[in-house]
Amino acid sequence: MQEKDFLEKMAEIMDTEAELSMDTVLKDVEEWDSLSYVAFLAFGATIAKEKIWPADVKAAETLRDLYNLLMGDK
Amino acid sequence: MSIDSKIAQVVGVAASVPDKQFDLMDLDIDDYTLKRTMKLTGIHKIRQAPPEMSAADYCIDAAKKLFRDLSIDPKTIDGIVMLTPHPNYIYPGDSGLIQSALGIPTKCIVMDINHSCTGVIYGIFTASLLVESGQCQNVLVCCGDTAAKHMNPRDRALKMVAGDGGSALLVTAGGKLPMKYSFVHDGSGLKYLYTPAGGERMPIQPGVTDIESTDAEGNVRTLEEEFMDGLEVMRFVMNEMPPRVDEVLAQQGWSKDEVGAFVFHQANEFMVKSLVRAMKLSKKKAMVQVDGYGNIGGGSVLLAMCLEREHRSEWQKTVLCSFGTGMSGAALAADFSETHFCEVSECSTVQVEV
Repeated sequence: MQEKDFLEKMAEIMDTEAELSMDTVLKDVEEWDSLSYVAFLAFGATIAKEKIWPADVKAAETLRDLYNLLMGDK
Repeated sequence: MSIDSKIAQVVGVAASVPDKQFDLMDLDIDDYTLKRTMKLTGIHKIRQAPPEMSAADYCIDAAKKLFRDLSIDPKTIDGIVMLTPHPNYIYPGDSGLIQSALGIPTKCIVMDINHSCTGVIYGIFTASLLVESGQCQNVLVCCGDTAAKHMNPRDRALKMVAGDGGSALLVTAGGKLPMKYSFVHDGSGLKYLYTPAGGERMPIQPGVTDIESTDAEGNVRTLEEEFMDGLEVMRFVMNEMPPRVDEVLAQQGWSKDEVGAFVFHQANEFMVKSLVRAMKLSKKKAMVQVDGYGNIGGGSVLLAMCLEREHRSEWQKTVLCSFGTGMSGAALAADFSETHFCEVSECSTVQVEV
């Protein structure tokens, strides 16, 4: 998945209108909440190479961290 | 259908829910959170049982409807399997109450299984064993829950999805196609969806177990109320359920395209849609029936089937898939083309007497 597609998908998953970049800090996005964790995990289960664990989702600090989880590159 | 066949089949299905709807907008939760959650879950209104009503009441009401529709004499029932995590009494279970309420003879096998959302498939499986062993002819399976009563009104993780209700189905011999199952269970995941206090491990202790606390996400609950870690539940479901569905398809020799109906546990709209996406299934074949009811627990797949009875005709190759507390999951591939689906009934009065 390309970074551009990932950012579009993340805007959809979080249902946010915030400007997103790979360096966006997740805690600065109001919509990065428990609903978004679950939505991200569900999305990840359909495309990630490795299984994604809840603790990794919660520990992610930036969008790049989430991208790396999807790409299997922690 | 062949009367010689010992193959178990589900001849009829019924569901019953509380008569009044509860609007989730009336919860003491801020509007932003309410609307954001509803957009994902697809649930705006639920059915919630009043304090005096139990899962068994809704199951009995569903069974009565089933017996009326199929002209079944309760005297012909010789097995009852009841599945609920919230029985009327700590002991014994509800199956005997169901027996006496329905006028089912005393010469009868009764049993209670403490399963919740996965209950219906465990129920069909157990009833099938009783029928195929030759021990029973007509087994009533009841599956229901009144979990919504046991949740904190400020716990949006649970309160905004759970509803109450019950279901009933009848298993007899005479089927054409053996039903195929796949089960998964991870007991180490019990802690992700359970009620900590109230059993033997942590008895209720006023001033300790009834004190509210707030978690990192702002959900409020006591130890006597249900707890769910939604992220862990999602992980279990997304990892474990697609392989279960694949297994039952392989056992029947069906392709995904051949299947007429996929009936997933109606946890919420997002979870059903996520599974559909992950398994690349046709959206039209996977029913979503959550709004106006909520996730009613083990009976949710039967409620969905009854609600869709008029809109669907493709039941010959049907896959049921349930999952929940345990962590537990199951899938079933079976022919439901000869199964009668009752209109959903509503119940407002206590059905059991002691």
